Amino acid sequence: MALLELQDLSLHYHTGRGVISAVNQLSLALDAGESLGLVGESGSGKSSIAHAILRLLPAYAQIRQGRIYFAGRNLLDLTEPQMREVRWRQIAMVFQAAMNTLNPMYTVGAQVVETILTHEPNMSSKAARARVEELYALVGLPCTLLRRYPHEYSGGMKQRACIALALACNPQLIIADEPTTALDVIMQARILGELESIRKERGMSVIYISHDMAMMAQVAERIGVMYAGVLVEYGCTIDLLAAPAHPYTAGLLAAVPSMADDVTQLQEIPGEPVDLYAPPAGCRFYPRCSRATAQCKEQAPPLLPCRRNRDGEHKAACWHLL
Amino acid sequence: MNSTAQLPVVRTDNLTLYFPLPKRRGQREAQFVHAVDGVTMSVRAGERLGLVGESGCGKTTLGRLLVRACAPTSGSVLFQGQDVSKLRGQTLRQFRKQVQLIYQDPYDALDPRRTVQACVAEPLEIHKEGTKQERDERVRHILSQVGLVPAETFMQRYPRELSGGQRQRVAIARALVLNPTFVVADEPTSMLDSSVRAGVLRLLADLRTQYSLTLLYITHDLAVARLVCDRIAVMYLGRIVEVGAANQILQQPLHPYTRMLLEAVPKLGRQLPVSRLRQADAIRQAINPQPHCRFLSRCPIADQECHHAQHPPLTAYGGDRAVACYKVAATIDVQSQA
Repeated sequence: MALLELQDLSLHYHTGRGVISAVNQLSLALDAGESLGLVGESGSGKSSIAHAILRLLPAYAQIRQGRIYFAGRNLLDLTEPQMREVRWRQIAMVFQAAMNTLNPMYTVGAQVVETILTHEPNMSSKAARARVEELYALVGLPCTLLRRYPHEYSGGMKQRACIALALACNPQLIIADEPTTALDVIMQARILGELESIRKERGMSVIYISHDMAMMAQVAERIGVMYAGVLVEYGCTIDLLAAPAHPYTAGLLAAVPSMADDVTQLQEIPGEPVDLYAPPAGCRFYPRCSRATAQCKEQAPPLLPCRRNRDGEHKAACWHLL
Repeated sequence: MNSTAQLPVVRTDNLTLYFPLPKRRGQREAQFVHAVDGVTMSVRAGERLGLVGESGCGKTTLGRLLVRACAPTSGSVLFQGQDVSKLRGQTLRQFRKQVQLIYQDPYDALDPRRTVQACVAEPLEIHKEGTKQERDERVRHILSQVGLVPAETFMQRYPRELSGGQRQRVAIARALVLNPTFVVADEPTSMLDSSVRAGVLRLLADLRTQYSLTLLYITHDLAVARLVCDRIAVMYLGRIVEVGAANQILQQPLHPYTRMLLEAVPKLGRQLPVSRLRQADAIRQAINPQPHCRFLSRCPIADQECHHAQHPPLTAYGGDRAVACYKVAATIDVQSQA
């Protein structure tokens, strides 16, 4: 059975300017021990999904329909105290922009200890402190840094501290929202390598969220591509990279700066991201798509298995598959 | 391209900038971050030079020094043969007109309370260029040049109404509206989504040919530098460690740090080398650094000699190439065997 299963999830934001449909009828499943990548540009709804799973959405967000099953329970049915049991002990998150996650007024060590004691009140503070030291060793930070304040950490160190924080209560699932966007390439390779080895050691599941296809290709076993709140393609990373079925996925892949000798220019996807207050009817990608026809303008394509894929796992939502 | 015909637009001579750190209790000596430490380099007329390095290596500071956005501790920057720190009055205004900086974050670079038109016209107003009508015309022209068409509709908008890619285009328009000769672009695409990044990169390339710009492109990603730049300079903790033609650097990196950067570039379809993080890998700052090679603690090929010698000087290595490493000869041997 899947560890996490999203069924038909739709999510709206009510803002002063109108209603945004941030996630539209999205279904996804994730097995225990698996790593899933959610790829898409800003506003594609990938972070909204993460916040919906942890039920950390702001008050102006509304889940219109759908269910989020985690280990057999629908998280949307849980009461707030029940949800607190789930948060961090079962599902933890590495938030985007690690620099803003830590409280500047407390030492980082105190914040990690506080997190552990909040979620595991029976633990002694001494044991909690010992756990924090283990976690720091795990993510490659010297324990002397525990008594330092966030501003004394570099960007890479803060990101590692946030990973330590996410691992604090041994969760079954970690959601890493753009964990390396603010970091340079060397630090990115190190942090991702670290997260992946911890995932494999502990048999955790990880959902990576990013707009960077190159980064995803390195860590995710399966990739879901989102565009304007819609899942447009889903499949095993190897298949998806070798033969993308949706034009948007192909565009994202061509936009990756490559070191290959035959690539001399980057390809862009023409046009601008969708205005979510007034998304186009039909396929949301059609205004930017080179293969669009009259049908795309009128009817939204469903997410269906690609014909060439035998086990039916590789799916795409497009009337004119590549 | 004939390299002898290209005169440097900007040249630095032993350029250095130290930032003082606040004194901690019980500390005897004052501490300084050696952000830029004895950099001698030149940017040639019409070229695109990439400045590549990790966060904290001083690449942004070096870029700011070149356009006199900050003042050096010692050393000098020569712009078209003139020492920029000595410019005053009218000549300084002329200099400010000719050099521009494009910032990393298009969300912070634009005033949220001014329309696109006001943002882009501001440099023209400061330099008292033309009449109101001429200024409007130039704004309209540059906006269509950067791909914001129809320009009229964009002129009346506010930054919050634009996407990230559009904002960066406005920032580029603002930098280019005065027809500068030298532009420093500080990671202009790192905050953008990958689907629009390519468009902004292509725009920069097109504009460079049209306006015969000289471009210093600052980035941490060698894969981007490869697509944008003619030459690449690799920086590590305040020093240039390798410089040369872009294809040379990428095909035959000589400095061990350049090789490390190349390996870190994510490649599609390649699994990540799973490695334990070591504490030694953490980002370093050059705080009161030791005299020997800055890269020593991370270097895979360092030996006793490196531990005893000073930081290696940037030495010419065939044609356009220069490397600061004592072990270059050994590197070349290994590469020619392989």
